[in-house]
Amino acid sequence: MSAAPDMLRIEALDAWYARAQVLFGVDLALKRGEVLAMIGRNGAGKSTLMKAVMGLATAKARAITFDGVGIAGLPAHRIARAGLGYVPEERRIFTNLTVAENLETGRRPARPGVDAWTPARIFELFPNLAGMQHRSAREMSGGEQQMLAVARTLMGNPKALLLDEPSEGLAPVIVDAMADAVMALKREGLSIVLSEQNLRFAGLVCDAAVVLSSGSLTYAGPLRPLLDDHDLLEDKLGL
Amino acid sequence: MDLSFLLIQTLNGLASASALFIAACGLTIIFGVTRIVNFAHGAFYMIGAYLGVTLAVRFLDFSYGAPSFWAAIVLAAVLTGLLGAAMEMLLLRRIYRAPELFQLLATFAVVLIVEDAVIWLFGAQDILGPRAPGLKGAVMIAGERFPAYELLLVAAGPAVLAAIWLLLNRTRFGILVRAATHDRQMLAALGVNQAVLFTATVFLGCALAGLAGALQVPKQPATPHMDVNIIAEAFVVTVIGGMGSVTGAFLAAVLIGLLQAFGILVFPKITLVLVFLVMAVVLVVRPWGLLGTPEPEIRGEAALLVPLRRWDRKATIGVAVVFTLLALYPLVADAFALKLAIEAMVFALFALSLNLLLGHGGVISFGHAAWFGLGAYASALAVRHLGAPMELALLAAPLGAGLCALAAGWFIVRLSGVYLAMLTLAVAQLAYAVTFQWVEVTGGDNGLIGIWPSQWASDRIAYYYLTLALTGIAVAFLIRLVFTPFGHTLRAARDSALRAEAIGIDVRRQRLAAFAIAGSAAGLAGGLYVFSKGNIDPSVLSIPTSVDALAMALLGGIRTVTGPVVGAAGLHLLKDFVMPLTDYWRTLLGLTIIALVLLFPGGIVGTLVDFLRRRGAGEGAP
Repeated sequence: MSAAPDMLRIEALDAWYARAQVLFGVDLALKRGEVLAMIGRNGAGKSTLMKAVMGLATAKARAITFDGVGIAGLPAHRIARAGLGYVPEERRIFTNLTVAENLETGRRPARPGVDAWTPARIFELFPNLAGMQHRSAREMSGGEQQMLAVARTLMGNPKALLLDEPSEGLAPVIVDAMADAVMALKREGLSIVLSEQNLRFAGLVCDAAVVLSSGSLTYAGPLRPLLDDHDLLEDKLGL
Repeated sequence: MDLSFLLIQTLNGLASASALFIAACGLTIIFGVTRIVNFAHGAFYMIGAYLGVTLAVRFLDFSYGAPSFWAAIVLAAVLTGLLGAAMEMLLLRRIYRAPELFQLLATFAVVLIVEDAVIWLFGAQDILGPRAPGLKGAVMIAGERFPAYELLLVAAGPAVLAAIWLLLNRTRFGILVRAATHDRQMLAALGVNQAVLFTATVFLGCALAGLAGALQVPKQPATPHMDVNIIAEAFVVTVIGGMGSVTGAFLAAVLIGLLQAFGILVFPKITLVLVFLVMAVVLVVRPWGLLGTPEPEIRGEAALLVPLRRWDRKATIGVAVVFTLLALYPLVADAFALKLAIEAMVFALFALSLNLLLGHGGVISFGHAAWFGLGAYASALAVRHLGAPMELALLAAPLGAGLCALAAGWFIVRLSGVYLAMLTLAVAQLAYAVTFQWVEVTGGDNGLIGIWPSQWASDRIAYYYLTLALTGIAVAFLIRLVFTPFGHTLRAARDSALRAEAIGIDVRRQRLAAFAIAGSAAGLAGGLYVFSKGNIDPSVLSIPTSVDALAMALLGGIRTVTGPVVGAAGLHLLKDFVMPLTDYWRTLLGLTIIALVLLFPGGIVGTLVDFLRRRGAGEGAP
């Protein structure tokens, strides 16, 4: 298993939203320990790709391998248990629960080779959350909810993360805190796919990038050229 | 009324509140997690009672004493929970994504099957249970005697509430259950196996229903119809409390318990009416109950619906042929066949009127029997108390039912989804309660007899033609309506109420108009029905009549124009020719409903149209 070169490998993924096809034959490879930026305009299919990998959207693929194991067609809870964590764009915090209870919903047994997450370690990563353990998640700010969403997924001791637009709608100071957290997770050895429209944020944490345009892959390679060459980026993003 | 009397009456109220709460809280827990309104909850209550009686007798025979008795009660609850888990794995699991209507009908099918199973296993007679050892006597409270067992029940409700509160707030299982009520898909993405969670939740809910049933053992006998009584009250409690809220259910149970204990002193005649009246008032003031939260936005079904095909010459010719055949039918039919045909036509109109709401309005009316029954009673009362001739009485039927539907609809259309369905059910139960309890006017349980047609229509064949003419006109009107601008806007509101509002359609008014029209049409069917039978009793307003109409619409296909008519004929044939062959007709009906829900959700006509469309022969529902 550990001999597999890539953490996550997607081959020829088609996916649908209701009856409309959103993704067309997308390939993607996430290397071990890498933070990969997934860039694309609104509606390009970034969120659908993550949902499809997690088994939450109608999808068909030649193969989806996670850490050497095929996960295509598995139910969502099996994919999560295999060690793939997912933080949705809308955060989907359980607002009827407290912060501590939200963390509990994500808790899974420790995984060999992963330093198990505990609430104490979570609060080191997100000090803001430490003081509000018994507060209802309904009363949190957007930034705090975003941190909680990441923290809740970490409680499952994932080997890799799918992070869907973690900076969306957040104040710049919170965006920086989130970037620090992602860097810390990278140092822990987590492999991360980061869907982003905020290139400044992506530039802070990512090495490689893929670009999605109207449901197809138009670029896969280092992130730097896209940041430096605006014309290239516009070209890849498409209309 | 002195103080000690008030105290005793309060304790009485709290004792019944406890029983009601334990019965209802399982329903609300199951709804919270699975979003299924478990119509079979009353059936599990009944199973608990029968298991409780059986086990308690055996255990007390073996060793007389309180431990044996309570072991029997607990075992009865656990076994009931296991049966509930079996239902979850075999049936509910397949319909979590189905429309609410299908879920209600599928669980009602379980009610029918359980009723047969209980009679088959235990017989139709009432079974009296043993009394609880050590709690047989009475205790003195403020100088009055009060049964010790009732006192235990008073404490049992809060005890169960506390236990459930601890379970939901202090255990991992409870946290996951609460998370699932909020967003079960996200929970799956965090690695939680929903299947296990759902089965465990249904086990818990049904075990609580079984416990409630078993706790009644020392108080009242187990009877094969105890399920229907409790389910209506349990619905009321969960809806008033807010569906999914356990604390809300407790508050509502106390409210209802006290209301009944004191209401019976002030208005002994309208205790049943009072309960449903309170529910209607609460829903108008707080559309999601005392402690409930708004339902999440209804799932978008619109993408899966196909527009109706334009009404064309072929369709007109088809209807003309059917009408001609029906007109020639008396030439070959005997008296019995005529009677069946009259009933089939009456129920075809009834089912079609329901489908205006159900199929075209997207409004789940679970109490359509109300309008049918009120029409029937309007006719019967006009004859009985005003001495009206049949012609006038038949006019009173659609008028009376339509006005009642208009009045009730004003409240009903303010709600949506499950709450709306529950309110229509409550309205039907309200109408049932009125006809049942207002003995001086309606004859109560015995009903009204001797309601015969006028001289010229008293012959079977004449009455057949009268029925054909009137139902024909009404059916043609309803079908025509579907293709008018009113029909279009009604369907637009069904597919997306928000978008319909945004383009200027007054959704509530559309639905209110649909309610009044459907109510009038069902009322006319009821009026024709009463003159064909000659008598009427409250059972026409009961839940089974509403379910019959739903089953007919479903059998024919609710996404079609003419399906319900076909469904009415189909179900009638089944009822008159197949069901009399077996003692277990309820099981047969239940299995039919389950088969429809699981295998042919499009119904006869819907499935046929789909088949033809796939072969390229048609492009819409006729």
